[in-house]
Amino acid sequence: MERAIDNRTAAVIIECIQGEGGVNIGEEDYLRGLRKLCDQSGALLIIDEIQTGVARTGRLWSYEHYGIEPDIMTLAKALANGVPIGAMLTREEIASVLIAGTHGSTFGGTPFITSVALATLTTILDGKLWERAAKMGRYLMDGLRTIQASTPAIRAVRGKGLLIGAELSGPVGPVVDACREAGLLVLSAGERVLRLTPPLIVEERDCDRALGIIKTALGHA
Amino acid sequence: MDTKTLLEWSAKYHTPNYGARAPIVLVRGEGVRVWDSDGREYLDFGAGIAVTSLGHCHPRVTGAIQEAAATLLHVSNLYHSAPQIHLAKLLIEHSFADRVFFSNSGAEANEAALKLARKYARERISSDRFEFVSTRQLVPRAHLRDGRGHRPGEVPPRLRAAGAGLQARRPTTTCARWSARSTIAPPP
Repeated sequence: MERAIDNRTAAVIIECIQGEGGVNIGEEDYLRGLRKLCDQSGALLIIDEIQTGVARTGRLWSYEHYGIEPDIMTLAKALANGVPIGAMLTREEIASVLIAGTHGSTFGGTPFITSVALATLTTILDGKLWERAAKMGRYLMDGLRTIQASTPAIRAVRGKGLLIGAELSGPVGPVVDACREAGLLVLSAGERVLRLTPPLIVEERDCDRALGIIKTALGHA
Repeated sequence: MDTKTLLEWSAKYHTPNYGARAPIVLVRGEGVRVWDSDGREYLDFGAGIAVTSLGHCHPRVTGAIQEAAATLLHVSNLYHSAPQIHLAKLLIEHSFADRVFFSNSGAEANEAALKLARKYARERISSDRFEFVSTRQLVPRAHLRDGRGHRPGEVPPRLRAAGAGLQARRPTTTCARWSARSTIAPPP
């Protein structure tokens, strides 16, 4: 990254925790170093919080785990709990170049969408649901590690809050199918990572049932 | 309409970009659970793709939808609207940021971010600053998407094909899993 950023770089865009890329967790040194590289070179740091933001990883925004702040942050997914929305946030100085007429959206931020987002975000803030995400994430990862101890089918378990990946020793497709057939919907990330992103309101008994199904699915895959 | 017919029509009428979807038709959700058209129950540990964080049909969300639908669905950004202002204020009060722009999706939010970054760099720093550095499988979202899992060192095909002067240049793997450089060409 040090060699990639130079005086032609307008911005660096990253996720602190890669979702689609395999639930790869950015290391603190790496992300702090990246912030420093951007500051030194004058490049802006854009943090994509589309999957990680709004309490999913155990903090309201994933950058909070790392003691850094972006120059620009992007949001979507959970912000309105299923109604389509995106948001781009930035600092005053940077925003000032978006003078009238330089950008816009017909549907962006309509009363309907923003009412739903407001209800969603208020509920998340009132309930401090990032704390719940952190707690349930630990519970689920502990359960996955217990399964890992009993089978070579899981190579590694990683995650933050309720963005969790289990790296498998074989292809994830058949495991996703077996889980679904047993009554559990799960995601994949790449060819070998089983990805779990349950709602933040998930209960321990839901996790216990899901873990049971995953264990069985791994046995059959 | 029976499930078999729906699945046949789905395969027949949609563009093939989602590949072989799971052969179920989901019809209802509540909390952590969803049900398919044959009445089978599932625990939803995907929550869309990390979308429905409050679970399906959360009463406060449903209430907001019903109220907004009966009050005012849409006005353009030629005018102000109170929910947009309240949401903006709440986001600013709880983040590093001072200003927010609302779009319809994450792809559009990233598009706005990249556009803003290039504009800021060009106007405030140097006209030579037009490149972006990213990590593999990151910039790739809708507009700038190369699909999943291109090999290190490969020019991501969809970055190449994304048009509008977009071209992949010197993709590197210098940052282990966090690398692959793509650039957007300077305006003519």
